[in-house]
Amino acid sequence: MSDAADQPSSTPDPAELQARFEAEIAVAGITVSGDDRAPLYAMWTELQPIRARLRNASLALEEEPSFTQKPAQLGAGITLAGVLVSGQATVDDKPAGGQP
Amino acid sequence: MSGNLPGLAATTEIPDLDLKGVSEALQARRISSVESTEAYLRRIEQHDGVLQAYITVTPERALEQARSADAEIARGERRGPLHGVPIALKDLIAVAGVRMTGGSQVLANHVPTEDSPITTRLVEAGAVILGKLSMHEFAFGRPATDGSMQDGPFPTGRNPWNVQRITSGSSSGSGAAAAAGLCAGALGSDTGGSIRGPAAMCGLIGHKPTYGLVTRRGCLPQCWSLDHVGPMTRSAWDAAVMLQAIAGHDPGDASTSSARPPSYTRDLEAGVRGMRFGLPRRFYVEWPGLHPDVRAAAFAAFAELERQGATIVDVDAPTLDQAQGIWGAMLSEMYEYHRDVIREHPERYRSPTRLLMLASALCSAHDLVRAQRLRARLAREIRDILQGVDAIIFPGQAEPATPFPPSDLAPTELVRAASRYTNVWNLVGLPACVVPSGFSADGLPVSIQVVGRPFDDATVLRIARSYERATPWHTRRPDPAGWKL
Repeated sequence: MSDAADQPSSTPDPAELQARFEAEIAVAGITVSGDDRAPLYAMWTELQPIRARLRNASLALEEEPSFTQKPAQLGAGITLAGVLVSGQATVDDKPAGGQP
Repeated sequence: MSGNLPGLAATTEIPDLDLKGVSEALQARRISSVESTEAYLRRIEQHDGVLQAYITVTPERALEQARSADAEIARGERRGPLHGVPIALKDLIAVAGVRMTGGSQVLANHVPTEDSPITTRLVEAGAVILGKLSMHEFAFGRPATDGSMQDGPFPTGRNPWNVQRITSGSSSGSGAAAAAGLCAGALGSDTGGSIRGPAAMCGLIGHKPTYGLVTRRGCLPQCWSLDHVGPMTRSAWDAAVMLQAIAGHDPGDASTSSARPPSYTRDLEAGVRGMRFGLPRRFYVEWPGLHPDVRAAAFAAFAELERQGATIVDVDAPTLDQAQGIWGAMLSEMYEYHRDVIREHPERYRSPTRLLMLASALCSAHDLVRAQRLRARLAREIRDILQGVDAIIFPGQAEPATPFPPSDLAPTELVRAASRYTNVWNLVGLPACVVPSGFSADGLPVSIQVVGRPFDDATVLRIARSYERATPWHTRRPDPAGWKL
């Protein structure tokens, strides 16, 4: 099931879509057998609205990627101050969230 | 109340016990580790032909470990709650000298020479390893009932609540084995929901730990930045004890935190009074793909948490709408891992897996960087939410277990829409736990999910336990009489 918002606003030209698919295969440098081609094209086509939405997202210039790829780690953008400190400290130091 | 529930009430027979029950019986010496290991091995022998939970069973090794555990316990040298308890591992966690296939013909004859540190820690805790559990091919293939257990490609686990239904994936054998009493607890792995999906569909607790809490060294990767290893069990205590054994820094895995894990059982019974939970209503409850039975059970569960003294407020994060695209772009990590083998031997992968791998290769560098930027934004938004609430709660899955697809079905989606319930939390690396919350009209398990602050897995399990102890769902067992084809 896909989100309604994921649906493309207009149907792209099939020939153009096929050409883009072939171009992406060429750029990726992958070999696709004859039997795989049609189902792979179907999958790729389904992915296009999601990818278009990703490409159309508005991002500020200062929005950096998470280079560490450790989003829950200290300094990677999500760790809450006081929850985790490095070294020998433990998460036991965190205040309890709620009353027993 | 429980008299009208699906399945059977748990008995005192070993395969009906939860891990805590086995552990306490061993501690009290009501049973021996050898007796419990033999009980599980008999159960496997009797039922795994249908359930397909195991790829490799290691009876001699397990009995040797059990005899050793019994001897140590008899000498008063009990190592802890896992000592002598028979468990099993998803077949992507290395056990030295035991075949590790990843559910694929590609690795059908691969035998690791070293244990994963996870295996080492479990063995040091005294656990008995019964064997290696089935899984979707390389943790991303599609469910399959065909194939040989000996030579691969390997079939996936069947759902003990209805063997015509999937367990979801990819830890299919872990879900089937833990739910059916083919082990006292199991480990799975989770890149987009592979612990939580099967746990939800099999009526188990499934805990994806915080990224960086549990090492992934010695485990086959799917996507390095999304992969987690965690427990799948019949109760929150069971999950806490298994997590305790495997959590902690590994100098060989740079992603692991150097902080010492706290006790995951100490405050397990402390309840939720005074806690504040966020419900992402727009993204999870109002999504039209949510099954009404899952929705109804989730709201009943939320009401129970409120009755216990918690407050629930609506929360939202705009970038949740981009999560599917971000997660899909990250799958290029998977292609990168497999690229050489799939180029040389594409025929060794099941057709659906091969197609998924190839589709994951079709992501440009600038799409990947854009996805990483949005991933960082999503993490900031979720961080802001968690500054105002103790945890985030929502339905655990989109729908109950569905029938197996036809074996020749090609995948039609690289990123399944229903995976929104789980893959968001791999992107941000937060602890996430599914908890049984009832049954569908068809008698299939449904669940809620609890997500916590980074490295606050203890609070997530405490919330799970608080709900669990007020409800009967975790005490039900699937009826073995239905394990026939």
